[in-house]
Amino acid sequence: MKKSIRKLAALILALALGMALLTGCTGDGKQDESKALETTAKADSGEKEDADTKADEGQSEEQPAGSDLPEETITMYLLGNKGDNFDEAYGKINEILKEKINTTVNVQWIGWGEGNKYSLLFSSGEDFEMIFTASQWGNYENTVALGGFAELTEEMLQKYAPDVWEQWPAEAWQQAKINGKIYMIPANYVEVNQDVVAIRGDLMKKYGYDNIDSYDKLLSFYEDCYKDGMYGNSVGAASVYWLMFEHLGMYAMGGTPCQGQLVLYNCKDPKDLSYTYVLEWQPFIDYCHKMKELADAGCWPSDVLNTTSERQDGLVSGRGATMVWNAGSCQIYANQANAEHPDWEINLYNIMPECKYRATRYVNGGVGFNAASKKLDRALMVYNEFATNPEIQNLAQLGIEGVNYINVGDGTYKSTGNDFGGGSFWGWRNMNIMLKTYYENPTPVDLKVEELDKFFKENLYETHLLDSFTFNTEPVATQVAAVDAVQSTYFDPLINGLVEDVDATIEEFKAALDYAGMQDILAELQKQIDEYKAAN
Amino acid sequence: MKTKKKGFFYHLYKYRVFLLMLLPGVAYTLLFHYYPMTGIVLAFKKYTYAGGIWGSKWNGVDNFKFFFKSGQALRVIRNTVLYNMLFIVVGTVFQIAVAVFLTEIKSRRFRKIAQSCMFLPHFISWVIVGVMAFNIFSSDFGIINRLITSLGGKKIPFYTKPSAWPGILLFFNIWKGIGYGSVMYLAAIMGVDTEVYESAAIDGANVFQRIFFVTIPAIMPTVIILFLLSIGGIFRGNFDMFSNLVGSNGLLYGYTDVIDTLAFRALMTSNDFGMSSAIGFMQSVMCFITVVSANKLVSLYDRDYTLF
Amino acid sequence: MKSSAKTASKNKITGADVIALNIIAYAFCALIALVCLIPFVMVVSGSLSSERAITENGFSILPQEFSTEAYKTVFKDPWVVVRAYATTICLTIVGTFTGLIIQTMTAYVLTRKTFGWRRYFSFFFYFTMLFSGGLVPTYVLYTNTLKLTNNYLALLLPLVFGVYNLLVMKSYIQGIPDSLIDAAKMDGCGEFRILFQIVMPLVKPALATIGLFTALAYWNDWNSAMLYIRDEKMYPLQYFLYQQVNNIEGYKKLIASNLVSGDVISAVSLPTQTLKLALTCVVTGPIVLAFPIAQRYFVQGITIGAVKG
Repeated sequence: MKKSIRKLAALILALALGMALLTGCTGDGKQDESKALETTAKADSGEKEDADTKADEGQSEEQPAGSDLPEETITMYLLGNKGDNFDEAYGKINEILKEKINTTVNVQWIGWGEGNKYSLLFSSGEDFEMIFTASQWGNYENTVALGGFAELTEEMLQKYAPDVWEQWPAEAWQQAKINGKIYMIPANYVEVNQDVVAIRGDLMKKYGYDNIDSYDKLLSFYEDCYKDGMYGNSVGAASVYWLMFEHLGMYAMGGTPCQGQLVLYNCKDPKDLSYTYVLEWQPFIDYCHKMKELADAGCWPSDVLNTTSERQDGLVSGRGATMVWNAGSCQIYANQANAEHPDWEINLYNIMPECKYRATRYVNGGVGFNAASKKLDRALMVYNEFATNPEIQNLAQLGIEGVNYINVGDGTYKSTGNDFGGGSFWGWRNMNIMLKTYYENPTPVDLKVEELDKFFKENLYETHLLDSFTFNTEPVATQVAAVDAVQSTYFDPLINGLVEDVDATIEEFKAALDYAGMQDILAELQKQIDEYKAAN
Repeated sequence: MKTKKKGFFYHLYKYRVFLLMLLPGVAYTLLFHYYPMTGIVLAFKKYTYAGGIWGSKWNGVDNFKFFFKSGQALRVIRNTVLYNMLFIVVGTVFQIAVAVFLTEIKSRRFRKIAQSCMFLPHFISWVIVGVMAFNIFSSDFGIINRLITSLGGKKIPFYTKPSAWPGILLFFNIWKGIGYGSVMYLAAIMGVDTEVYESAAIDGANVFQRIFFVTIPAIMPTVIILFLLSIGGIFRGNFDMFSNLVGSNGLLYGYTDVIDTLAFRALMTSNDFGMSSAIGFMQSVMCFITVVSANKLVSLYDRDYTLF
Repeated sequence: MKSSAKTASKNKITGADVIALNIIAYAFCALIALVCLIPFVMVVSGSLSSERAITENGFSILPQEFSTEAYKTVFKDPWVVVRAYATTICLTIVGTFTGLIIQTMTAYVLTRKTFGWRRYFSFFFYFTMLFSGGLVPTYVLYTNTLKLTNNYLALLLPLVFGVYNLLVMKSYIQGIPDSLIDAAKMDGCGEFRILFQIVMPLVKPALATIGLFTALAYWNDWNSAMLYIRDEKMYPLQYFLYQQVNNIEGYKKLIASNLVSGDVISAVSLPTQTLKLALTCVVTGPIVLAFPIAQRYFVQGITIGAVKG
């Protein structure tokens, strides 16, 4: 009895103290709640009204000129860090914006690798208008699912970002749609990020290769290298894995678990809307067997899964004979290694010349607009300027002319070496007005890159309906999380040929994935593909 | 006792000075710990930005399901608990040994230098430790394997050999915490009244007896408190350590996967607040049960040694 | 000197047992100290090596291809680093003192046997070690409710009152004989006076320990700055360095996964491994220098007798 009374007393005291303390905060808390409710309401119904009223305002003004608009500050979040002369460049941008649309842009940053700050901004109701986004790696789908981005209607875009609306290809908008609605403005920018292989020319000569132009030749080259006591590829087969299915015309299905490594679609045939589950796909099984052979032979170290080396390290240090990466990256390191060891004669090789290639998606970079922002109209105008005004585009992309870059003419530029920073300046890239890199004294590698780039662009796949499809994981979130948890236990060792028994591991892997709900995911995927097919 | 019959307000008045002294700590804890604790409800909700903590919809235990659906729940729980037990027991023994030995060493300069050295690993982040471990254990240019091959032996493939890892992880865990941990025991030993030692010496005990019958019992309250505090985290894996030493090497997961690394892999792409809250909540509840039981056991021995 | 009282007392007896113990103690401590020291030497050497040498050959005891590139990157703008140091030092000093006072005061009350509610309060504090609301509500509390974005309080508050430290402190204070406090009480001392004039001097080693831990926590903290500080001028040292490394690494990772094409060459050629090592040295340096101040208290004991008398 006594005990319980004491307990109660203590509890009451704690509560009393708590009350006294929290009176201040609970007030705020309530405000938060009501604010939250407000925003929900807005998201549901108010938003359209909002847009409508703003549209009315705009109409009364007709052609909004800078001086007529009220002064505004737009906060924009970028990923990364700011480099030299950044503030100076934005000072100039703001001068232009001020004159044209009476607006000042205030840039805030989320560092690379500080990913969870992205979602915290939305959770805490932080006051900002624009933020960089990208499909998958840039939180686009997640944020839309949680209601963070404002829907951008066609009317809004036409009204406030008319130049963008006009110039951007329909495909870009199509890719940005989630359930038929647009939540971001993608950049008007695509490139062919095709992986190529940088190979030591001296070794090719030594083992009697004139050219390495097929997947099989690459693998046999690896074996020759090993016999000579050299790693074919010092970071393992993970990079070769993508080449394996790309040379068969297969690509990762957007939005599927494990970065799309488990579910592919056939790019070669636009009519083929089926998916391929890699564990039941013979080329994958053959690939795993082949990799086991190479790994056992010693074509890469047995501890590749833990290696701290980057893709280029083996090639540059002379420990590996090749590196696999996109042409731009291969170019940097091939040039670097050739400069130090001219006898290596490294050049770039395309191991799938008979194939076609796929361009990146427009939604690989873009800008999303905060659903809670009340200055959406102005933010869209700002985007319009960034994306279509060449002066701002160059300032925001490359920095200050003469300081960070030199305009060489012919739509090309040369970097001065003053780092403008590694920020996500890609959200408003516009291929039509962007300056391109100029090569002063092109090396054989540079020439090859240009040649490859041209070749890739001339041999693109026809647009496939599934290019713009992104799997919505919401209905099977539990299964996706479970599959993600299971995947690397088996997958990474398998594709690097590090397992004892390939077939048994594949079986085990399949069973583990099925237990985690892979079949539910595949069923849901089929359902969504069918719906998508019907809608388009 | 008479006081026990008195009412709450009597005590409130009687304890007024104590309560005044507690006020800053209590106020802080209420505001910065209990007030945000409402976030626990996220474990049972489908979180949306617009809804926030209160407005989001309830979804029952959906957020917990993925953990069990992964089929690895039991394995990671087992690993987490076993590793923590290993770390607590071996770590405590080493830390006490260092503290005791350091106090026995006469040279003050040696003591100071040795202790300063032991603190250094605390400053080396797990990221760097991970790289170092690779430098030591890698099959190609790892120090150990280079040594083995130069002696004509056969390489040990540590990174494809899961059974080597409990030992490696234990080593790094002890290594990193030894300076930090031993300071707590040193402080406890230093707090022991010197007169006690003198009387023990007069009684004719040898140094080893003195250590076991005077020093160790004297620091027992600290040992038990620290033990209980560690027990309170027995279901939490040290994510930084496991992720940096093991990385994404699936071959080793059987021996090295813990709750936190599994949850990280599962939620890395989706970034689901509800599910991560759910995992955290589950760990809290399991720790809570463990620590309350342990505390009860200790209280049977001596109530003064308990946490609460 | 009272400081040597403890060692002196041991000198009285010298026998085989003492010699045996000394051999074990010296050997054991020397071995552990060495195992702890060597990796740090490697970190220092690594920070003075070229990035290439580190990625190709791994760490070594002596610098390979001596280079100060990493330090040049860190100290690109020396005044920024100096300011970051100043911020961290001020924060550490203010935080440690405030924290020590609050933690000790609270711990003292929780050990007083005449305080009947001490167990409930102990539980009240301990509970927060087990259960927490997670990142989102805490972030909302700091940024939205308390509006502490870009406020030094956002760096000070998260670490000022640690329950772990509190409970460890409690266990130390418990070691003080009750008779001592009762006697003071009899003499008419108030609780505050007992705490500051009797208890605090008696637990100096504990104060040094908890003070050290609190100071280390402040010194090493980058998380609060990452979440709550946007103004670069307010960055503490750790976050300033952390975000340098993280930015380069994060960017490299993006390029590596083909998400972004490698059109920004400059980021690719920046050092990361050696930068991380240099960062460790820059951060640890001042602590190694300041460590002996705290060390004084836990390598030498205190005698209760001395205080009593």
